Amino acid sequence: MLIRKLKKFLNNQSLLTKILVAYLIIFALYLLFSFSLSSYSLRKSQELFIKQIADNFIDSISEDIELYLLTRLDIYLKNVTRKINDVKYILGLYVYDQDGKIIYVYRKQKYSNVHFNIKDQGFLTYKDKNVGNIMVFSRKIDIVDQEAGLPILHKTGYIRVDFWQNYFDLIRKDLVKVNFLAYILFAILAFILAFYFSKSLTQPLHKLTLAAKRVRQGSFAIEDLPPSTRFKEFNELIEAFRSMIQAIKLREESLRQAEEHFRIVADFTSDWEYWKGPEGTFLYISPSCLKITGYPPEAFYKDPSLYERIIHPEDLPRWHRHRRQAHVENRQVKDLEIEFRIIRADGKICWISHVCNLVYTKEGRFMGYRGSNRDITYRKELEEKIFQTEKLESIARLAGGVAHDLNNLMAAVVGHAELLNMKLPPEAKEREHARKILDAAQRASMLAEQLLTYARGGKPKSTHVDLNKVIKDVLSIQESSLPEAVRLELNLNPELWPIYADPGQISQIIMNLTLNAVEAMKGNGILEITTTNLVLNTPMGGDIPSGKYVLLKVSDTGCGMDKETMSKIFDPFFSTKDFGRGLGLAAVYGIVRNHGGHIIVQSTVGKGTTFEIYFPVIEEIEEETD
Amino acid sequence: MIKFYFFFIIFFLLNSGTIFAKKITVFFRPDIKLYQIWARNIKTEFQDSVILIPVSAKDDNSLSIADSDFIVSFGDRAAQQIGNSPNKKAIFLVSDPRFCEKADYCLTLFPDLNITLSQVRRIFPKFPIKLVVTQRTKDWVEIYKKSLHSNLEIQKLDVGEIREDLRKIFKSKSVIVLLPDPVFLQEKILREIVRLSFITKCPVVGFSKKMVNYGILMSINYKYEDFLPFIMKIIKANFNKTKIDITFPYYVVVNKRVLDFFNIKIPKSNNIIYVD
Repeated sequence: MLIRKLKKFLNNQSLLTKILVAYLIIFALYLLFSFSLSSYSLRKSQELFIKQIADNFIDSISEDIELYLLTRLDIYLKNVTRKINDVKYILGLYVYDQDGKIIYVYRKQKYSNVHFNIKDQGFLTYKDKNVGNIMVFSRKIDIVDQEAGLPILHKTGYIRVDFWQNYFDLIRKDLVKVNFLAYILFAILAFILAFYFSKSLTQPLHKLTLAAKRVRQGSFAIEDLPPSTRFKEFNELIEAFRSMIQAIKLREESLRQAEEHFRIVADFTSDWEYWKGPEGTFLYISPSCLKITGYPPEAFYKDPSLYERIIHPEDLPRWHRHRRQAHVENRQVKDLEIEFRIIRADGKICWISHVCNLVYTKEGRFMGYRGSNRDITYRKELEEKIFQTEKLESIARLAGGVAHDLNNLMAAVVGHAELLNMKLPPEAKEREHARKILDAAQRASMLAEQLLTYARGGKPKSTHVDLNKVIKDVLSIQESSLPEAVRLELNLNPELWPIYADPGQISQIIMNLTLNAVEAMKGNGILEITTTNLVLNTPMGGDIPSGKYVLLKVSDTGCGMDKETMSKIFDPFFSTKDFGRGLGLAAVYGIVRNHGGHIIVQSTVGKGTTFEIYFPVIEEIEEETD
Repeated sequence: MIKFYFFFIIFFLLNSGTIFAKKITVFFRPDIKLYQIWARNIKTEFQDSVILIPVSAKDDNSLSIADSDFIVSFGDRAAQQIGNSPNKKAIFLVSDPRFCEKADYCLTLFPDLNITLSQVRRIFPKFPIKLVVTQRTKDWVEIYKKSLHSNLEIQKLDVGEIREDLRKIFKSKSVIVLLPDPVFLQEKILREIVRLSFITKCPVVGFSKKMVNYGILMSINYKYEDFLPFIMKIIKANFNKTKIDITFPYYVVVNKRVLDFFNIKIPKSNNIIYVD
């Protein structure tokens, strides 16, 4: 448990702390071991030491004792007593004769004696109440000389030396104290050394870590690396680190250059390029994103789901199918295309041509999606317009043919009806039938005429026309028929340029547009007619070339139209009214086209509709003569 | 009364003049304390008449004695350097008896070998005697050759192999007589002699009281404190042209405990000193 806690504690500690903790543990164990054994070993050592000292001492006096035993002259004991006096740890000396009888005693101080059988016992310890423990050592002294053929003499005696054990005990205790102090001293020394050693180990590592952090922050200054250390391994590590930094620096530089080149290309493109990572976050979005979506790239970086949220809800199912398809098929790295609409930040609809593929590394690791979105709104509008134009052209051609044949047929019908009427007596009942045939034929002729106007615009009898005057003339006729709740607002530019047009056909345009507006407002609203001069320096809307124009704008606050309706309003015979013939706006379209003008319709359901008609200003045209 | 004092003074001066007018040169080894004390005492006694000349132990140059009327030489080295024919009145105190030939009066530091041997024979009449000589003392024997008896064996001791030689000497039972050599006073050798003496039960006769204290049976020696008064006596007698008995007392110092060990009885005599 303790080891586990220690491990847990050391897990997040620095190397320095770990080394110091290891040192402390080893030292504590060593201290425990040493102190538990030192007492025992010191006691044993002390015993051996005292025995050795006793042996040495007895050796040193044995010659004197031998001579004393021979001569019994005290002179030989002087040296012995001097030696005993010189050392503190010997309390006394006994000399015994060969019978074990004490023949000499020397005691430095008073202490109790003990019965000691000198012949049998070599060693004895006993305790005296005054001096403490006493250790008794003895030796037999044999005087034998058989060398050089000398006569043999046996003369034996014994020597006994009393040692003061307490003296050695005190030394031992002092040794323990010195030992302990030495332990503490060495511990401090070792701690300082361990600290110094650890510091010299960790310092270069710390500096290397700092250098690595600086590298991560983009600083490649190799001067930040630690200087050479005293450790070969560290020097090699520092050198390797230095080489690594230089290599990273070079790679970073080349990478930066490559990225710069890529960005120059990617940022320049008008397409919205992006790279979405495997986790679904955007790794790169080109700046064109803002232009196409109205959202800055940062908005997509921050909220990747925004991408799907701006896709038009009607196109979203297709988009999801495309995505699934991309996942299934794109393993072959094939570009998959789709066109869909997005809702820009400003609410406008934008058509996108989308191409994407999945990105894989050489090793086959999935790296995300790479996509390219191109704004094709303009192209789509052009296509729509072309389609409308072609449709109207074909209808006009059909209507023109029909109207021409119908007109010819009606001319015959009208002629014959008039002849019949003329030949019938005035009171003849058949005259009524002839008149009805004539009326019907005349209405059919008028219908044919209108069809021709749509198809060819009729043959305009163009002259310089003041559009404001034509508007006022038409309105003076229609004003009385306008419902009271419809407010007419005229914003006519008094400096309006004259246009080269057929005043009758222009009147028809104004009449048809105002009638439609009044009908759309259902007798309640604002009818606004505006004229203004306009100079287009650049083509507008794709099909209105640059140049001078007189703009006629007719707006109402009526019910408006949906897109489907708007796409058909210029079709002949298309009408939302119950009894309309569906030729009014078709005729307007035909007249405008015959005058080289352009018409734009903007309508919002429930809010109203605006027709903008651009009449080209032709400054120098010779007046056509009838 | 005044006349009496006057004559007394005149007499004293005349007499002292006959004594102190002569020049006494004292040669001594200053590194030997006993010689130094004796030389100073002579100087104190005879004052300006005395010239003290220290003799170096290492210097071999001959000493000048031209201006001296009487020469006192302490030690073998001084005697050696004075030369063979001093042609002066001289008193030598030497250890080597061979120097005595050059002096009018000669005192040896140790008793004459004849004296020693006679004492040994008196105490150990039946014991064979071994006379132990060293390189230093081997030639002394020549002087006493005539007086040596047949019951005497001369044993030469090589100082380099002294322990082995001692063992050989103590091999047979006899009285061992050591001829004076400082080597025998070395404690280590002295102890070995004592040890062998006790083991082999051979009594040893030495030449110094110190040897007896260490356990040698006996020594025959002079008392050094007797020398100075005797030398003074000789000088004064010589200048006063009076005759003097130059017999010098010696002593037999015996260790009583050792004597008991050997169980020997010594005939009574006045010059025996017992130590315990």
